[in-house]
Amino acid sequence: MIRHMLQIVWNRKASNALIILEILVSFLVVFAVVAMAIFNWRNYHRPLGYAWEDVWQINFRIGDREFDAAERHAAANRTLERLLRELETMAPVVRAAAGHYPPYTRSSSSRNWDTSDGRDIFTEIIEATPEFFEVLDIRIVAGRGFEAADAAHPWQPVIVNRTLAADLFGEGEDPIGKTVDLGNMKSTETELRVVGMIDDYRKGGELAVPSNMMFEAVWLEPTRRPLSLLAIRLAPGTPAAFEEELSKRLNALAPEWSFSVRSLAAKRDAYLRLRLAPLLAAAVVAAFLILMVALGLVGVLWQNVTQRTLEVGLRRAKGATRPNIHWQILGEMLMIASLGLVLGTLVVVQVPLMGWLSFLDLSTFGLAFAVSVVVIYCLAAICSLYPSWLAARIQPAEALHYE
Amino acid sequence: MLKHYLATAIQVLRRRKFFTFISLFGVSLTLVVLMVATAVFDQALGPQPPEVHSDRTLGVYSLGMRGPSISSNSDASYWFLDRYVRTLPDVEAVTIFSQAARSATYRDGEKFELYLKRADGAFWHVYAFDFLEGGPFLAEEDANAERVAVINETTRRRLYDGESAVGRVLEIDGQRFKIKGVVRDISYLRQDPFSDVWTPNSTARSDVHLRPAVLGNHTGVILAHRRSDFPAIKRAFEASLEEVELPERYEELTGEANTRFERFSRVLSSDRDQVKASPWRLRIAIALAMLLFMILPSLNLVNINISRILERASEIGVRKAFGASSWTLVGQFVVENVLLTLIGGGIAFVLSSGVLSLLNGVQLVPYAVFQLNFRVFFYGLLIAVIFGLVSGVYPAWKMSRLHPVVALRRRSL
Repeated sequence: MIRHMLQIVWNRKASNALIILEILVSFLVVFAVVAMAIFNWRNYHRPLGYAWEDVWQINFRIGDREFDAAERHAAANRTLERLLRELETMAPVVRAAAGHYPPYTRSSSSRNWDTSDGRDIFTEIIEATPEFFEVLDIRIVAGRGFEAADAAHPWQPVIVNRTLAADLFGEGEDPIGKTVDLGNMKSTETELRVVGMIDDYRKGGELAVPSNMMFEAVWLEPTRRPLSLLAIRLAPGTPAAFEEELSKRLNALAPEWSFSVRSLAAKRDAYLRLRLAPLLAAAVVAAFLILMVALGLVGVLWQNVTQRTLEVGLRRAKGATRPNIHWQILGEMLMIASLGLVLGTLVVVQVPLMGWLSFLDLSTFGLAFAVSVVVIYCLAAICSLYPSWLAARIQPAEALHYE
Repeated sequence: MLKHYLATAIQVLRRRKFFTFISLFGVSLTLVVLMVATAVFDQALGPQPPEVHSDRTLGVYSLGMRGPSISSNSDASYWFLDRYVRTLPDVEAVTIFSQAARSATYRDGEKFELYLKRADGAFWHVYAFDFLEGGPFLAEEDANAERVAVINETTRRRLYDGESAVGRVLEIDGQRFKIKGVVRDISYLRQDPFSDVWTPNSTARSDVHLRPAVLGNHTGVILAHRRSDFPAIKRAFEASLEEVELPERYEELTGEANTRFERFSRVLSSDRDQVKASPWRLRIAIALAMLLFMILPSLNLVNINISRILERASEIGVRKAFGASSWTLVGQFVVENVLLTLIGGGIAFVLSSGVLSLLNGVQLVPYAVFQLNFRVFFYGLLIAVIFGLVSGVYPAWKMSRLHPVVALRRRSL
């Protein structure tokens, strides 16, 4: 049966070749869109690791950091300390913290080094005061949060996320109390000791690829280069109008600083809109392309059937039933689709083989592949419905008159 | 003759409405997507006001600093730009400005979010703003830290109900500014000139911009006398990077003076810092994306046309039998295909303006006014005509060269 179908398709190879090519390209388009959709959908449903509701961030600018003289650092950290204290006296503010890199931010600080046994470690780094975890509701799943007593240690306490803990100490190992292997940087850098572990802190937002994270505790020591951000958790239901009061208070407290207040909810809105708009646009364009292909296929098949009136009529005259004819047309189309898919698979398989798009893990890839195959078969089947119905309606007598 | 062809063509198009619909659908869809994509691209990078000199401008955007175990990248600081970019020789003008930062102004308890950019006197020379009233602030006003501001049309509407704003006082970011001028809105996609409110650099709330630092949040834009000066300016800038004293733990400073396109191409840069432009990668990527996108509609068009031409085999046979030359037949098919493509182009034109005005309406991008680019429309149409010709006329031509008897009997190519 399959051999027979192949024979029929092969007999008309010139006109079928272009259709196969069209199926191949359609498959690639569908695969790209489905893979993108699955990838983003999965990311979206991964836990964020923090709660954005009722959190406001306050960005401030005091100056450029790296050349600042020691007394400037000290003054800035004193002001920061006062601001934190004053903020917590305001009624709607539940907790206030200082740090770098709030959620829904793209900028980042990172560190990259080789361990003494030669493993390449990459992690984002976030400096924050101990209250940062409370403000953003980042849950400590093992060990503990930063404590005031940590300030006295000669080593730097850090909190890592699960993936970084696995990278550093191996899957399933308890990271608490362990020292981070800094490899050849050991002599120049402060010792880092893990005191706690969090599930995650997906700073890049719902659609971001998970990344390794390391939090370093900051106590606003006079020598520390100043942080760049204040974050406050507000009592639920705080009106937006509180912002004016907050803004006035901040300006009065530090007249030489420049502040800008934003709720994480507003940031998240803008972020999702900005990130989803291009994805949506791509999906809409792809949908139209596939609709166009579907219409085209119906047209080509229709034309095919009209041309083959004689052949079909002859088969009917020799005793083929209507369902037989139905299945023949459908089967031929599915055969053509299969050939296109085989070629498409050869193309798509190159992606993981060549190591492209390495952020797509194998299960996303496999699922996207399966879904795309189903979509293409459905497309082929739907497109041959009407033409095969036309073909099955052909009467032997009509066919023999046809010229 | 042409009139006769046109009449025939319309008859043919009307006879098989489904096929006509498929062809038109394909042609117009392709053109709509091309047009909308170009409109967005043009809005971001094309030479549109106020960036009328974009063919002569180079910008110093982000810089990268590296040490053995540490790396930072960010925009440049005012101090760095003032010292190393403003001093570049043989350029027409240099302007230094901050990124537009979100700021707030409050009126009767209501919050208005406005973007605030600090700039200098040369800013108004490098960018040709369209002033609705008043004028720009001057270099002296920047030097004297005078509290003056220029606002855009939308801000005037929101804050002053569209009434004349010059001379009024605007309180923003905790400071009070006297409004000197009102300009037309600038699209958010034109990141360099874009803002709601512009004030002098020197009015910044702290003396941040005067402190020595390499990284900050300012951009420097150089207006060259002519485009041919670009290589010399780029070299001079990169040479000046060598002199910069770096903070401890850092050893290397990288940066480039880039055109808008080069700046945009950094996203495809191979190094992690993305401070190096790779314009060729971007060009290739754009060409590839367009090609990939056009493959499917073309294949579809080709398939449909080949199918359709088979249907006309007997017509060709009859016409040849009555003495029509191959060239006459080809001419007829050319007219048919061009007509079809032109109708598709017309539909695409209407649809693209619809999609663009929809995009402008929802204000996905603040102040963006996407416009049709006629040049691209023309090229898109040309490509569609070529595909139509190749796919429709080539088989017709092959068939028209057959002997009438064969053509009459022929059912497939």
